[in-house]
Amino acid sequence: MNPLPPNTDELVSAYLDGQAAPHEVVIVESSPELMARVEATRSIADLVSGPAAPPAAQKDAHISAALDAFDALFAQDVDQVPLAASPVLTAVPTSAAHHAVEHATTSPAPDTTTTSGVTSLATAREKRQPRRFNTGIIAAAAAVVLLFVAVAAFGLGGGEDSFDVASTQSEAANTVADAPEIESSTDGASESEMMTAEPPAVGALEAAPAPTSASPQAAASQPAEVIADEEEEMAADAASDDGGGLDSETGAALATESLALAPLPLFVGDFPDQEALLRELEQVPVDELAKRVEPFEPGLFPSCQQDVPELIAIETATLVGGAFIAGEAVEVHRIGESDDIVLVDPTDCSVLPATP
Amino acid sequence: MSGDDRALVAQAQGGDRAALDELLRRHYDRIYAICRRIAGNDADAADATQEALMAIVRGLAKFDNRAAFSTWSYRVATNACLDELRRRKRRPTPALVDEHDGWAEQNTHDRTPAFDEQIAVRDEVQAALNQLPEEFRAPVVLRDCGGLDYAEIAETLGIPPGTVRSRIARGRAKLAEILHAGNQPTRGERQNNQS
Repeated sequence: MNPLPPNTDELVSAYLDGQAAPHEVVIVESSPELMARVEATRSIADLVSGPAAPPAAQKDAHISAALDAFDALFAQDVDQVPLAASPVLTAVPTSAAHHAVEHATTSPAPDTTTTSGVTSLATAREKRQPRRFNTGIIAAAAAVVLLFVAVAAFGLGGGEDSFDVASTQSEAANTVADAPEIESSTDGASESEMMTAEPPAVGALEAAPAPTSASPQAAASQPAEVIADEEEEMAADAASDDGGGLDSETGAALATESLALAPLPLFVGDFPDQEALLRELEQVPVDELAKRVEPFEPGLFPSCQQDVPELIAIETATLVGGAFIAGEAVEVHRIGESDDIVLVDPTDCSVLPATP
Repeated sequence: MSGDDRALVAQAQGGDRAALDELLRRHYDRIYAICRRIAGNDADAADATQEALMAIVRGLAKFDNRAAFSTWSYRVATNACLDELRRRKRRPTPALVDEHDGWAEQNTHDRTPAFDEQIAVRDEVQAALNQLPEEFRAPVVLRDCGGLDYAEIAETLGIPPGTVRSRIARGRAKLAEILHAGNQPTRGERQNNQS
């Protein structure tokens, strides 16, 4: 009897799946012993593929909730852009800002793959130097508003309510930052909350109900993880108020301000367009950008990082923020130690094309 | 099947609720099965499945048919499950969850010895799967439960196809070892493994 080849398990497994190379097929089929192992492996595969039937009531409830969410989403989109004509599907010129001048006349418009979406904040910072004055004024005004809101929150809410709001905001921000599928405010929400399927809306995250992992009990059991200190609580309070009456520009400035006060929350803000988000990110010092990966819990599947070719090889976390652009959630990833930023759509981990 | 899916997707993208309903019903069982196998218990699987459906609804507008709808939806489901697992690691260990809550309870009147045996086998396989590290469990489930090929699994998990091949092989070998050796942990041990 011939000795079994090395990596027999792999050979047999690949053969079973129809993924073996032709010469490997020959090897397996010429060996009764290997064919016997194929059958044994097949029985294991059959066991795994066996039924794991859901309760019928659960199936109906889940689908019903999804359909309700669909209704709400579609009703919203009909007033704006038809679903099938979303910006990602249309042929948007996608040259990155810092490559646009060099390649605009010679390169075909790239598709929505990752390389096209890289934006250099350093270059953008240089270009936008004069604009800082205006943003500074906005930030100063926002600081005043922030102070006002914080004082009001302390005066009206009391410590426990503030904590809950801050916990919710912080957890929601982390959810935006972490989850691959996160744009809905229902992400992580309890099933009963999902059944009601509140329509996702611009800024919905700020007002989102506490996700399962941020339920009052869970929040109470993890206060250190959720909120660091009183200052952060104030910032989170202010940010959570963003959806309650402040306009998006002020809200974005507030988010930036809270980011400067307390780097822990990853939520950057709600922006009307990509350009506005990038403008805000330009204001974040490089050191601050580096610090923003710290709250992210390292894991096997850090959100979209492993789906974006530019980021796969980077061993440290690259996620530095989450934000909304016109109501759609985006993840902000930083490429290594550089100033380059990619914006990723968390629903499918595609990189958003940089605006021309 | 995938051709039908394509038509349904197009209709759903145009706002056809019935088309989406059909699409979700068609794939629900498989999505749930994947979540159940990866998450390891019914409660987390239910949460992850709901997350997956919501994500599918939200992402449908951007789904461009480059992959089959089934592949894409299984990918979404996998991400929802892995996310659920990550959240589970962050929050306190929940109360003991019955390994076959829901399904078995619902069918108490119909139970026969064969049914009990099915339940036992299902639990045994799930317990064995739960002993596999996540990086082996996910590709095995996507292959055997989701029917994805290696390239699709590689795309879903963001790892090279060669790694998929070796992880599936090693995962199955480990499963066989566990199942054949009867090396099942006690419920308490399983609980510890999950927390």
